[in-house]
This record gives sequence, structure tokens and C-alpha cells, in this order.
Amino acid sequence: MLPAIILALVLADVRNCACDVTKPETMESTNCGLCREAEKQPLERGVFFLKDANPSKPNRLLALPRKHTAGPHFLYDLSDADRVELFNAAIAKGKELWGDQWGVAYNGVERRTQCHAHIHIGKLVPNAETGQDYMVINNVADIFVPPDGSGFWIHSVNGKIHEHPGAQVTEFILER
Amino acid sequence: MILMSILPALLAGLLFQSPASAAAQDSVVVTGSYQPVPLNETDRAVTLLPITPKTVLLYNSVTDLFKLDSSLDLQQRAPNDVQGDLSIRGGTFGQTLVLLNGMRLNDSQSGHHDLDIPVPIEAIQQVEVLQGSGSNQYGSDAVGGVVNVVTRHPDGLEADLRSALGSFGTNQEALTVGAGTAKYSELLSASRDFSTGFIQDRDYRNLSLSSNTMLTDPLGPGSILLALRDSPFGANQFYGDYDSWERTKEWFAAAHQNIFDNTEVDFAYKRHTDLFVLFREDPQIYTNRHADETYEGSARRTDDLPFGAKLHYGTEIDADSIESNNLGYHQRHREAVFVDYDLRVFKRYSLSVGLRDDIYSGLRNQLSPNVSGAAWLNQHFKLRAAVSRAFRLPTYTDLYYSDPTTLGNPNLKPETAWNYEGGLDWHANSTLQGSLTVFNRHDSNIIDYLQTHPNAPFMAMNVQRIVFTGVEASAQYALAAHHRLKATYTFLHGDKAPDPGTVSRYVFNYPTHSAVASWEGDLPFGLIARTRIGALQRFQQGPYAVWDASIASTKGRFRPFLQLTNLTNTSYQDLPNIAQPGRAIVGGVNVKLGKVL
Repeated sequence: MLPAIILALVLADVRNCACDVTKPETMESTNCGLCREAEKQPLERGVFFLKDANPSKPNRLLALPRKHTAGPHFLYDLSDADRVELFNAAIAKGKELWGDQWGVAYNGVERRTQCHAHIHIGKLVPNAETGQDYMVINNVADIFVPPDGSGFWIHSVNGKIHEHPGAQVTEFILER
Repeated sequence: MILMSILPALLAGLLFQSPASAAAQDSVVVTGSYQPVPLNETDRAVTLLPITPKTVLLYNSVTDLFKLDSSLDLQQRAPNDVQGDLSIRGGTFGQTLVLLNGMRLNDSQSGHHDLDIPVPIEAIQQVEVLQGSGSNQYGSDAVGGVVNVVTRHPDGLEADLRSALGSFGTNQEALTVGAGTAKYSELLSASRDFSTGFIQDRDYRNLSLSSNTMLTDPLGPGSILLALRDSPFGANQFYGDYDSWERTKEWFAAAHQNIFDNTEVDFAYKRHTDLFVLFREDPQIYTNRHADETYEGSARRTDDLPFGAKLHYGTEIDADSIESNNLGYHQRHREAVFVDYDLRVFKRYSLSVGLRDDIYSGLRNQLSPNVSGAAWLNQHFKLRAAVSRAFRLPTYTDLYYSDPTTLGNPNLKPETAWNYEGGLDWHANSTLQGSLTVFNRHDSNIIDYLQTHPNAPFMAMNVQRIVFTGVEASAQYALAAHHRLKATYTFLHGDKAPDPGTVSRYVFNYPTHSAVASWEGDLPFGLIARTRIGALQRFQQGPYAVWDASIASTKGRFRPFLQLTNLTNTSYQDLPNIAQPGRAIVGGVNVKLGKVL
């Protein structure tokens, strides 16, 4: 199973996403699956959660904004308020389920399999943070989303958020 | 009438298009950094001017791309790639380095031939512009900026035949044939552009041929580019009130090879000839023949260092020579070594510190240091700053030219400049971006041709010092799918004016204000269109504006197109006393002989 997942991630690339809710024919594509899930949600809902559909990741959740943005749904294209709402909701859910062991990961656009913006919530694998390659974030609003669409992951250390940006595949730091 | 037809279609197109994609975020540039980087990660002011097989019918020549950004001052003697000078940030034409796939096109005889780009526009993928000094990376001539023309590889199997007719006896044909896979590709392009001229003795006949081969071998990707350009043209008013004639030819060959992941080697050869006849009907009165050759080789390597840093280093060797009935026979060579430490942290902070030493004939040398850095302040704002030094060696014309009205000067020193710039990039989201750059350049020993009294010849001299200060601003909005609105503005101030009683030929022809507004996008019925308006005011001269528009079909085997230039029939001169054409129209059809998208 693991090689299949790795292969799927390696081959994934949503830079040319065409999911457009105004054109139903564009929503049939496999990589528009989360866009279709978003359409099922009430319009007034800002953020919703889904259990990861992959059976090999039974302990994972996804946090998604109800709103669609164009193309590959960059987090970067959400408004500042919507992005903060998404992070706050994901972190709160992570704390609720795994206490201080929560982790939130965003895969880069070159390795995502779904167009609709989504972040992974899970329990951090042991010793996920091995070096000094992180930024200390004091406020959720200051979480830096790389404008080139690459991924990042965040977690909590002594009440502060540590952010690790730059990689395309980041969800591996979460337990399955 | 045409505009009345286009406007409703344009509005309909805008209203019914889906939201913009974020494809612009994928744009990668290779100019101004030692490794390709996404455009929004550069820590220098870099502008990308893309062209695709779909949009190429909207452009008549590669110089049309230069008109899309106000930071580029295109001073044409004649349109459609016949002859022109390109200036950036107030630099003279020789202070802009023109590259083809990273290899030098600047001509050692005269900077007036720097824009003799030998590949047809059909073979070009994009033009990258580095505003500001680039000598730390490219050596001589990169004082005002660097323009890098990047060729393309075919998208599968393609074959296109284009033919057009237009004003002033214009008659154009182009053929592009390409095929390729991920590991091998070949693109052959040929174009011919003929005109009887908009006034007497301004006829021209441009021919360009190119072959671009890409081959991935066990060492890594490699490429070979072969190109030829032949341009005979009437040069009425070009260098005085004479019915002159000129013919330039350029042969260009370049080879590139990656050696595994970290090393690249390049080699290029260029031969350029220039035949100039002062009186077209009486060549025996005054004729110049020049032939110059340039060899260039480089090897670059990148090593990974701790903390995500990279060390770029390498060497470059150039040699050029000229044989001319006016300039004589001369040759010179230049060897350079360079090193650059590049640190990129968290996709948020970058710092580049580099030094290049060019040692040229006579064991003189020029040091070109560079320090540049950038930091994303938050999601939307990136702050950047750079300090660098640049230089330019005089051309053979600057050094040795001699006729009754113009004299070179063998005692000229290299021009040098310190460039300081700071900028703020604004990324509201992937559809709306802006940029503001403030720069200050201290030029020393700048070379100009000065006439100190009315009966004296113009003579090449080192002007002592000039300080240019300016602002470059741009905003781009991807209004809807494939619709791009862009506005750019450049302000420039020089701290000196010509001395009273002295006539300057080049230095004081810079634009003090320049603005360009452009739009390109899809229309209903498979049409694509673009328009641009450029307004410009040069130092101590009046302002003028020029409006161009084009429309083309992108569907079917037969794709008609229409290009309109100078719609308002503006009377203007890019260079003093050299008239430019009025309103003109070129229309034709492109036949897709290969696959039809």
C-alpha cells in the first residue's frame, strides 16, 4: 500500500486544475472530488472537516474551506480572514483529538492529488522535528503560506507554533 | 470600425469567462540568478515577457515584446527587427546586455547590432529582463540591465506555415516544423519579412533561420542552437541625412550540456558582418565593411552547503576579433572567474553574495561584486534590495572608428557603474500583483559621442559621472481566464544635462517618463487579441503615445490574423531625426499543417 501512496503523491500535480462549479462538466474529474464535497456543505459554513478517505490513513482528518478559489485552490488565494479561520479550526480540532501532539500539514501544489484547498490534521510522528529548520510563529495570522504553492507543516512546542515550510510532500509527519 | 467590432466581443469575453487560473505562479526565470527560480522568488527586479505558439500571431517581431514594459526603452531606427537600440534605466544602448539562451549577442563592433537576434519569433518562448546591473553574473555590458531571449522546444509534432501582406509593401512568410519527446526534440524555424519601405530608401528584407535541438544523454539535458540572420535594409536618415544602405548578417551557434545535476558547460560562436554604404547609388564614395567573430565558453557548478545554501562558481572565457576597412584588425580576450553564495530559507528569506573578476587583454581587470536579498514580510509583501557593480568595455567602433563626422577614441576607459535598488512586491493573490522599485545608479566614465562646436566631428569620450535615479512600478491583473491586464510606469532622472554648446548623440536621449498599458486575452469564437498603448517623454522633448492592437484566430487549420500598429498615426522619433512609420496594417493567415488543437 505504501508504495502505491508514494507513487500517487509523486505523480500528483494539480497545477492545471479546471474544477469550476459554474461548469458541471468540469467537476467530474477525479481531482475535483473535494470540490464536490465542498458543494455539499451549507453556504454559510466557513470550514468543514472530512475523514481522510484513504483507508490506510484511518486517523487522519482534513480541514477544508467551504469557498472555492481558482485553479489549484492555493491557500494563498484565500482571504486573510478565511485562511486564519481555516488554521484556527484545524488547530482546535487537532488539540481536541491529540492534545499537544497535534500536527497540521499542507502538501505543495506539485504533489497534491485534490484541487480543493485542504490541510491534513493528525498526530505527529515521534521526533518529527529533527533540526532547526523552522520558524517560530506567535500568531496564527502570521503562518506563512509560500506564494509558490509549496507545502509546509506546523505543530506546537511549548505553546508556540513551529512552522516548517518548503517541502512539497509534508503529510508524512503525521501518523496514519 | 475594427475597434467597434472588437470592443463588444472583448466585453462579452470578459463577462463570460471563468475565474483566472494561477498559472502565472508557475513562471520560472533563469535570468538574474544562477539557477532557475520561480519569478516570485527572485530577489532582483525581473520582468517576464512570455509568448506561446497560441499568441505568436499577435506579434510581428520579438521587438514587439520589448514594447510591453515601460522599463525597456526601445529606440528603433526602423520597425520589425530591422535595427534598433535597447536601453534600460537610462543606460546607453551598449549598456544593455542581450543574451540568447544565456549566451552573449552583444556585438563587439557596435552596440547598434546588439538586437540582431537571429532566431525567428516563432522559435521563442519568452524574454526575461533583469533591470539593473548584471555584470556579477554576465560580465561586460550588463550595466543598465540584461535581456535574455529564451528559445522554445516543440510541443509534440507541429508544423505551421504563415503568410501575410500589409502596408508599405509588407510581405511575410514563416515556416515552423517541430517534433519531439521528453528526451529529444527538434524545432526548425524560418521567416522572411520584406517591405518596400514607408518612405524612400527604407525598404528591408529580413531572413532568419534557426534549428534548436534538445537531446538528453546519460550526462543530462543538452542542446544545440544554430541560427542565421540576413538583413539588408535602406538606412535613409540612420546616420545623417543620406540615402544610405546597410546589410548585416549574423551566424550563431551554441551548445549547452548539463553534466549530471550540478555542472553545466556552454559554448557559443558568433560571426557578424556589416556592410554600410553611405550613398546607396554611389557605393564607391564611402563604403565600410566590418566582420567580427566572438567565441564564448563557460563552465558553472553548484554545490549544496549546510542550511540550504548553495555555492555557485565557475569560469568564462570570451575572445573576439574584428576585421574592417575602417576599424582595422583587432582582437581581445577576456577570462572571468565567479563565485556566488546563495541562501534561501523557509521559502521566505533569500540572500545572495557574489563576486566576479574579469581579466581582459593587457591584464587589466574589473571586479563585479553583488549583494542582494529579499524577505517576505507577510503573505502579501516581499521586500528586496540589491547593490552591485557593473562595467562595459568600449566597442571597436568606440575605439577606432573614423569618418569626417565621427571619431572613435583609442584611449577610452571602460564604463563602470554602482547600482543600488530597493523594491516592494505585492501579491494580493494569484490574480493581482504589483511591484515598485526605486533605483540609483552612479555611472563613471560613461561613453558618449560629443560635438563640442558646430564644425567639429562627434568624438567618443568618457563623460565624467552621471547619477540616474528612478522608479519602476507595475501592476498586473489576471481579470479572467487568459485575460491579463498590465500597467507599467518608469520615471527616470539624471543629475546632469549636456554642457552648453555641446551636442550629445546618445546619453541624453533617455525617457524621463514612460508608461505602458496592455491587455491580452481570449475572445469568443476562438479569437485571441491584444492591445497596448505606450506613452513616453524623453529628456527635454515632448511626449508622444503609440497604440497597437492585434487579433488572431486560434481554432481550426486556417487561422487568420490582423496586426495594427500606430493606430493613431502618431508622428514620432525614437532617435533624433529618424522618422518612424505611421499607421500600418498587416494581415495574413497561419496554416496548421500539423496537429490542430
